[in-house]
Amino acid sequence: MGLLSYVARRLALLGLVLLGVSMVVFFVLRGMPGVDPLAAYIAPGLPMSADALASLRRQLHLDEPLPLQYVYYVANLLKGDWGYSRTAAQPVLDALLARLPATVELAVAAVLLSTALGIPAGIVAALRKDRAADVAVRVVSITGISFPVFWLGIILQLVFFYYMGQLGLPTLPSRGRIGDTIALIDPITPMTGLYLVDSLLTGKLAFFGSALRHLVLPSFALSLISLAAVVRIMRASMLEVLRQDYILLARSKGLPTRTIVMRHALRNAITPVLTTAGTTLGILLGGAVVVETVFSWPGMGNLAAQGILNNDSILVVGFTLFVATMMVVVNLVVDLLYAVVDPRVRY
Amino acid sequence: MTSATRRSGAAATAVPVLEISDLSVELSIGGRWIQALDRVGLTIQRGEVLGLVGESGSGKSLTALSIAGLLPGNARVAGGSIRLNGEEVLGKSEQALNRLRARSVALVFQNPTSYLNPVLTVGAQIAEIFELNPELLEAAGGRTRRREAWRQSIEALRLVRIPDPERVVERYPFELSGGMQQRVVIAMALVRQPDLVIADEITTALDVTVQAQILSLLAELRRTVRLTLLLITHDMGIVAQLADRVVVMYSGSVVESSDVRTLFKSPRHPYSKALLETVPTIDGGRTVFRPIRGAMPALTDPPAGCRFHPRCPDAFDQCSRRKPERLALDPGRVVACHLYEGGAVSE
Repeated sequence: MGLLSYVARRLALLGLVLLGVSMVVFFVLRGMPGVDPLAAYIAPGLPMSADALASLRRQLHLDEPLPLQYVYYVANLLKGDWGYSRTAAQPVLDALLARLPATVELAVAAVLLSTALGIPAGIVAALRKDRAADVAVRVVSITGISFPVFWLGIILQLVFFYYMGQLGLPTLPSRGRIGDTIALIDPITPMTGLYLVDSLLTGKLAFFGSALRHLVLPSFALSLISLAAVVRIMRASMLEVLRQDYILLARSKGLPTRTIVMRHALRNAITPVLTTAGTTLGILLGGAVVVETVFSWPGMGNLAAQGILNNDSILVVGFTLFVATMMVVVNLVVDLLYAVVDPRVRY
Repeated sequence: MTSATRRSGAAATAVPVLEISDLSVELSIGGRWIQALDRVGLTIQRGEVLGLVGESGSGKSLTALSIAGLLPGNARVAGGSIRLNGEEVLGKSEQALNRLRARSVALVFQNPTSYLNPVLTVGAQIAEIFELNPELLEAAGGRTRRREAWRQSIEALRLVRIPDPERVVERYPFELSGGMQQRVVIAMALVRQPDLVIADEITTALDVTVQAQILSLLAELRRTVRLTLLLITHDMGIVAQLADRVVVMYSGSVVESSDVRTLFKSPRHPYSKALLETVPTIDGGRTVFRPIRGAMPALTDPPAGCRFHPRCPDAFDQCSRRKPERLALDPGRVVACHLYEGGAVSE
């Protein structure tokens, strides 16, 4: 079985997953009692005649039975027409794609942060099992995951923006992706839409600095969701690997602990962490709703939150589908990465 | 401390490669320290093959691990001494032990599949030994150290009769058969030109035909590289084939030590006799097995007196009362058994 046919099979599976997701989301939202789906299509407060409403309803097939509406919906989806979002005042797909880079930048930064902190912490905890360092790492990571993210976000804003500002200390930005001034004076030409990447490519270091500073607090708040999981899994996996026979053989060669951990143990122990990081990235891409809202981050989650409040079912269904797609794609990429880490994995 | 072995050989004047005397090791089981090795003594001269035999759980592997300072976390040395080339091993720092393992003592273990690191190539696992022993690469000529290490790794594979070593060196362990994997581990041991190789049940996990190949390889290496070998096995057939002298262990103690020929001709300790009878013989066309009745006592609840007495066909009242002393019977032979107390001088 070749790599290509494996990927092809997984992509076919992706189609099935999306069909399932779209069904669930569509029927839940459209079938909700007391909410007229037509409401999603008209501006609130705009007076419309009964005739106009009826003809709009017909035009949108909203007078058909629900299963048929679903068929129309899917047919449109495949044509690239995901509907029009009242909230974003633009087509759903355009609105999501426009906000995708902001969310990707935030989610990737959060996952990188949680692995960069979590992997070393997990290794230290494993090597110092049941000693002070281990206990400290476990307590901190459990405490971290126990805070609600929105609360933690607000605390971070209070401390690093408000209080430090009060004390005349340097502060970190608490909202948005970029400083207002720099965005006006020295804007970048969007290429990938990822501010950090674009500003580096165009050599605008001031822009890069501002974008990076804006990223710190929200990505840290977001990273805490996965940090505890990464630490725990890294620790458990490392302990398991250190018990293996090949570690004893490596020790019998007289290799120092550092080499044994980094060369012999880490690559064997990292696979479960990779899975966690991948899954988390998927979750964060869709689940940044709260953090994006707290930090006024102009990403998809922020838009989706507004959509929910506005009863914009077309947007919410589109958002959910979009997130499900990314989740499946990210998992596929992670599965392919296994083959890089572990030579025994072949597709 | 004293050992019969010192009186035993003609080579007693030379400093032995390995001299273990009165080694006691305890294991922590269920919060209690249990005596697992009881004043074990053995000596190996340069170029000699010493067979260490006994059933599973007799303490052979613990003895081996003690020599390399690789006792598991739940074990501790309670007394005695281990001298390697006259130098005390016990009490050495971890760093000094690493030096010792890197160069002087090499271990080969039972199951090559679990003792080779699955994610590193054969070559990487052999060549890393040179990182610790750069002096082995002195004859590098114009080559870089890396390339010279790689070249010598290929040579080591050739030495252990691996066909096509240039290709095997790039392979991962899972791509090789069990017999080839064990040859790789043996190559790792030889590449550092160690003073002592400890082979712990190295053929047990292999097929019978492969066992025979590995044993003939060892016999060949004895001649070609003048191996000094501590050969741990439960198989008297292997001892007969390879060893010069033999030490028989039972339940953590040495019960008899002798040169191989004498032991096979006239075993003294009832346990040695029983062990020799476990080697199947062909008697009038029928294969006869004589298993030793009973099982080795649990370390947590050893019988009083001689630990073998519950299974011993020759046991008498003394045996359950007092632990037998080690007796030097003939030159080169030590037995710990009450049967011989009348006729020999106690140590």
